[in-house]
Amino acid sequence: MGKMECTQWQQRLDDYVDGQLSAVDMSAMQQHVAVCPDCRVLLEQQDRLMQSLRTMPVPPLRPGFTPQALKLAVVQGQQRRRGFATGFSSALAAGVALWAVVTFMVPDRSLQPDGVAQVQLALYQESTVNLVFYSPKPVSSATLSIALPDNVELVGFPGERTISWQTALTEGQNVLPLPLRASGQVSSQLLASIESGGSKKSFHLQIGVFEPGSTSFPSPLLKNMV
Amino acid sequence: MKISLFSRSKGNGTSFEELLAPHVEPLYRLAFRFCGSQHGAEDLVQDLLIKLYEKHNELLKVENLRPWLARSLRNHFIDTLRQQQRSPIEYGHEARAEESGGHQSDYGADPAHRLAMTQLQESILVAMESLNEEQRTLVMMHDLESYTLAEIAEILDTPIGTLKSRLHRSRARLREILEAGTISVGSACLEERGE
Repeated sequence: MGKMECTQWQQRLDDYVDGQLSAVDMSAMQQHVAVCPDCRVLLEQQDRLMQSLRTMPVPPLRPGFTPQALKLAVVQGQQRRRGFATGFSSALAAGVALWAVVTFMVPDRSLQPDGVAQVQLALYQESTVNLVFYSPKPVSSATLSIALPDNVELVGFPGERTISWQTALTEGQNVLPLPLRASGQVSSQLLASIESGGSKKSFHLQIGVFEPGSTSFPSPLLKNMV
Repeated sequence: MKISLFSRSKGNGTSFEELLAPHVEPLYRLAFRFCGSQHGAEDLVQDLLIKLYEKHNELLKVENLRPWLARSLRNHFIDTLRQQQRSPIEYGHEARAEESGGHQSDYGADPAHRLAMTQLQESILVAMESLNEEQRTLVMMHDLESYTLAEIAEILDTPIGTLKSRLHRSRARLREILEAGTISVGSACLEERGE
């Protein structure tokens, strides 16, 4: 067996085990290995090494780690965003000049004077909350994001805590109906944000939950969130 | 105008959890390769996910998330090491064996063959300690975690040609070390199988 030929094939062992040889070269190499004991041993060693590397064990991921880790990331991220939104709200107001009004779609809605947007949801019942975004000019692409608290679900999006999508805005009023359902009787906050042209503004919606049939039925609220 | 919540496009409307869930386990595996500890790997992935949440919109625009996330993980790992002023990456096989909790890959039903493969893999882990950091990273990503050279070129910002020759040298070095040691790359398995 020519030493030159052996050297040539040995230099291509990596291509062989990685499947990078052409069909013609693969066939030629197999023919060579069939008659060359030295190259055959080397190829078998390379195969063993690669098999060992490719099956090197990793302890299995702890059950439940993925959803828990993602949830923690979302919760911590939302907390950071809340701080960010509060700190930069005045700066952003000079930017895109988009703002929102939240209306609760029942007849006897009312305004709260304390500057905090609030709605009340009946426990386990679907209620539509309208987010109204006013834009002083048409916007071809804005990113809307809704981050839900743990006890509130967006109907049609089971299990999703954060929902983002691109949309266009017309000049003036743009209404986003959100079908919400509360699954726990705790007070919580929904975070809505809108981003366009590098500017972003976030809005918090305080959500209260009451049990239907309760004697202390709260008044639904309308809130200007600017 | 009425904005339709249900008209969101799939690409841009994917939630953070939906987007990242398929990548968590591969990230964990790579993190384990980096730090050699199950708890360390979980912490590394958790910290990265928290950082990534701020980049949700940027993530939606990334065409191929797998190498993008692997690059982020590696950068985060290096940053963490620097912050903690630790020594470079440890690849101690004893720590790995302990952390793996007896977990083994499927080498078939033959116990002798499984034992031989386990011994060979432990020898390889020891041998990998003698590779330099670039070589180790490359072997881990390509041969252990099956990232393609094109993906690794993006992750490490290194030309594919350079990676290819570096990989060739790394494997040759591993073979040399193993052949010089008590267990030859081929003989253990061949003998156990009676070949």
